Amino acid sequence: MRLLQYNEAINEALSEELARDEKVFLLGEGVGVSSLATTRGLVQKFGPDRVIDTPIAEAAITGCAIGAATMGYRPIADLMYSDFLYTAADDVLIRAPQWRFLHGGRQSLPIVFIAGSGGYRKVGPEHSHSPHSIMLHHPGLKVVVPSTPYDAKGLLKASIRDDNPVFYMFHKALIGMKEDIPEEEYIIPLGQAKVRREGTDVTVVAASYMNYLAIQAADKLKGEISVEVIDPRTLEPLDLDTILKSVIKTGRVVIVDEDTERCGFAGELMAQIMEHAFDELDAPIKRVCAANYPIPSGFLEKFVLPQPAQILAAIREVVK
Amino acid sequence: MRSVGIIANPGSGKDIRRLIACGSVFDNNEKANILKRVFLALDSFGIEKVVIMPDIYGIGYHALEDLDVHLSTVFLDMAVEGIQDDSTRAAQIMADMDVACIITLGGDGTNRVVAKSCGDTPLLPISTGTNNVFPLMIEGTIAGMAAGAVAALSLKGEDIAIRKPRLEIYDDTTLIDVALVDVVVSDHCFAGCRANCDETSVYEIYLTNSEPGHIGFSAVGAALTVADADRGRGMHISVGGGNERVLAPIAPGMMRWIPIRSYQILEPHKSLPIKFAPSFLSLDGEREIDIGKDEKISILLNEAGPYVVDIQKALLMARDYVNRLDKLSDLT
Amino acid sequence: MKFSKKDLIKLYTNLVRARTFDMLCTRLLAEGKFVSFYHEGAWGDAAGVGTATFLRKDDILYPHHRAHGFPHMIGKGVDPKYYLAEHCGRATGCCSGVGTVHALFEEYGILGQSAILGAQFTVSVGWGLAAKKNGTGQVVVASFGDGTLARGTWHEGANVAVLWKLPIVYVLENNGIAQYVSLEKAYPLKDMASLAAGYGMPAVVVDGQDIVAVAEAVGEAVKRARQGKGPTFVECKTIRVTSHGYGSPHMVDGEQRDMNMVEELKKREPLSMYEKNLLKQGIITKEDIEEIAKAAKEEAAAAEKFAMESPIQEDASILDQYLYAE
Ligand SMILES: Cc1ncc(C[n+]2csc(CCOP(=O)(O)OP(=O)(O)O)c2C)c(N)n1
Ligand SMILES: [Mg+2]
Repeated sequence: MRLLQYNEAINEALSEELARDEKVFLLGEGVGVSSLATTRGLVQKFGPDRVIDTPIAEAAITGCAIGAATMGYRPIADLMYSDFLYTAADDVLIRAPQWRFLHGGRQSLPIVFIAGSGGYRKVGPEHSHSPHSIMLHHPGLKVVVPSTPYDAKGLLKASIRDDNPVFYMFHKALIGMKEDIPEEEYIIPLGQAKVRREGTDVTVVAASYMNYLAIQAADKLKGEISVEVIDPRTLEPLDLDTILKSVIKTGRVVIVDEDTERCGFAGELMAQIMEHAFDELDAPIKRVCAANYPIPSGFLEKFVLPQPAQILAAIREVVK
Repeated sequence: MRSVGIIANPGSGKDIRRLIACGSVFDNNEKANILKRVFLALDSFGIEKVVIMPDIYGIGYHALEDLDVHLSTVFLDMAVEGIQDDSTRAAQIMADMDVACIITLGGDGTNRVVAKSCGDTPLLPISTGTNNVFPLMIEGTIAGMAAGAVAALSLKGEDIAIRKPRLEIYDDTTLIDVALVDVVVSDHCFAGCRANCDETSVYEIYLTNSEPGHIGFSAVGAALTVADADRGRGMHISVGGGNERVLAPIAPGMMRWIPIRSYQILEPHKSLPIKFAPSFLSLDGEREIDIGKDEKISILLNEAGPYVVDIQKALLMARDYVNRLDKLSDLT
Repeated sequence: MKFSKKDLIKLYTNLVRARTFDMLCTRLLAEGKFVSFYHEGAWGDAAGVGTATFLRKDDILYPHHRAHGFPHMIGKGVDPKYYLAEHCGRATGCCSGVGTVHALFEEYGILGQSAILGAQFTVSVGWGLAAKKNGTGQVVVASFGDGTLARGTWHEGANVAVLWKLPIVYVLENNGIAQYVSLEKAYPLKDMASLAAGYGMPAVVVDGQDIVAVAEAVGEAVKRARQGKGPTFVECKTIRVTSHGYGSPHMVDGEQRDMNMVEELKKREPLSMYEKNLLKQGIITKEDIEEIAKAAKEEAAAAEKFAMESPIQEDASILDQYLYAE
């Protein structure tokens, strides 16, 4: 075991997979340096043919990934900020997810789109998105949102080995988080939620940075309310069973989601819980999401993005 | 057998004349293409060595990419900064190495800075622009053949080239610069975009000759009525006022009426002081030298400027050389 | 194109002001008073100032992201304190503290900015179309970096701009680097002007460290546009001597940047080069220089005071107000 930071864990996963399978390669803007150091040092290890710096040409990056994937390669397309997926949205949201389906199920696309997401850094409406709901709205694309260094590594390795396009979104605000990581190899299969805190009064479902905030809330409420925190870890595939099991136990649910509330993942999950476990609920489900505004820059950000106090309040209210 | 020098200027073919005078952009990849053709022609003549000036754009390197030639290429071991002086230093080194001739790619400005230091090494100037007088509009393959003959037969300047005059600029008694076509004195105070196409700013024009077919301010000379015998001689023209005016192409597509106060034949080796200060000197079309109030700048015409390869003559010698080789079946 | 003594001094003054604000922003970010990031612009600021200083007030200008457009906005005549306040998240900012990196000065033809690079190529087509319809000789100037030009939007915009003969001037500030990637690793060519020439758009390369050369080239391009002759491309060769953003790694192509080379680049510092020429030409005196520097420092200090004394934007009621038009 050694203590690794979230971005170091990502880096290690990339490094191991590049070493394991020569069909894996990485491309993106400045991956040789990498702002958040997720890909730093890889070009020295694997050379510029496998760790490819690109111009600012997102469509070329994602299109290249699709083309190479159809020819047996396993590209990892680094989009830097998840906000930039919109500049290549036809590849990421239309072409890649539907490719296999519309070609009669014969041609899979083993691609990982990787990008940093999320707000809380006051960097404004074009560098703070958590655009997973729009991804989920395009069946065929898997969505991975790790909340810890351990998960970041194991899930990324699974994503790279998956034969489908996966959007792997790490959260910028989690970069400095540290955790013990085993020396030996491990993989976390996609589609397995994790119970982060066991509890009996209320289930809080939260992924990525929201999971971090949810755990803090649970710890704060210790002695007052027994909170079970569930981290879905991947939103597609979604481990509904683990969530439902918890709902049956607690009868109360709060869903925390950093994405915009309207038509978001939280609303979707609410619907699924009601479809499958309405009778188990003792209170209406509450959600804490980004308010239905663009994410403002500066000091107004806190009025839009979910805040710890809102999570606490929602939990208290749902158990009332 | 001697080697051939190559100086390709990455900066030529992109100046402001593209905006104000319908010039066309000359891409550096196209310069590399020209060089490819030069190399292929040189190679067919069995030239063994080509010496190339490195440049910040790597024109020479690009030219050699994927090119199947036997000749060996040497890049000069010099630091390049992407400034004019690169070419001047390169020409100096090539002259010291005794290359048979120097092929240049660029415009008047490129050749001007090369001519500063090439001495008696003949130049074979390929034009890569639209505003040029000195370099030749010649296909790279043909230029390569001509240069190939010069190198293979180890021809000297006096055998194969024509001596061109140059204008020398002196600060007091020190030679500070040269021009191959013209020196224009204007009331600019900044180099700015360098190209000078503003006829209203001009005080006077000095020309190495007044042959017809020029473009730029040197075309004013050709537009003046002078005796045929005087066409080949230098000229000094004062602009503005006066009764006479001439129509001249001062830049591609820019036909302008230029008012003439006076003009005279420029006698060689006679120093003429510049009377206008502060002012700016454009050398071969580009603003280069700002003259302060108290500076003593003068202009002198020197007939012993650079040698330029006589293409026709060189090609005929190339033909004979190839035929001879073929008979000896050294060449297949 | 010739400039009057007054013009030349205006260029100098604006460059000094832009430089002073760059230093101010860098300091404010280091002190935690500036919101979000700052991408320093010193040494690469002549292109922006030279581009913007002689535009008409009603000309449309899209500022380059570097130095977050201070050189361009200052050149255009905008009072920089409102953008500074914006960047500090203050209610008095030009976007009421909602945008921080974004600027809007309608009355000066600065109609908005996007932090997603490449927007200028297509948005400017809309501005160009509207300007043409307006028929008042308005011109659109879009500034951007070499990295940005790799976006596909460039091709879509350029094609249409030439096709429709729109009054647009594209000004490239080519500093040979885009974040962590060198120009060599991003293009098979060095002079981006060739990309414009391919569309039949007149293109010129100028020394972006020579503020007069930039002003002259952009001036000629603007003239063409005003005369209805369509778009032009001006490539200014400039430099970046800092890291990409304040505090980001000073690296390129996977390696630490060669600091000897950066020192070499620094020799082409545009402000001192211009200052030397102006002195030589007798256009300004040492006293003028001191006075201009002093005025710029005072302006920056006043702007800082204005920003810091302005209320932080924390009025949540504006969210609804700003979202939809009535
Ligand atoms: C579409 C898009 N991709 C990537 C980025 C991230 N990014 C911000 S600035 C920058 C580099 C820009 O380079 P260039 O255009 O050359 O301007 P410079 O910073 O060199 O002045 C990058 C990659 C972005 N903002 N938008
Ligand atoms: Mg750049």
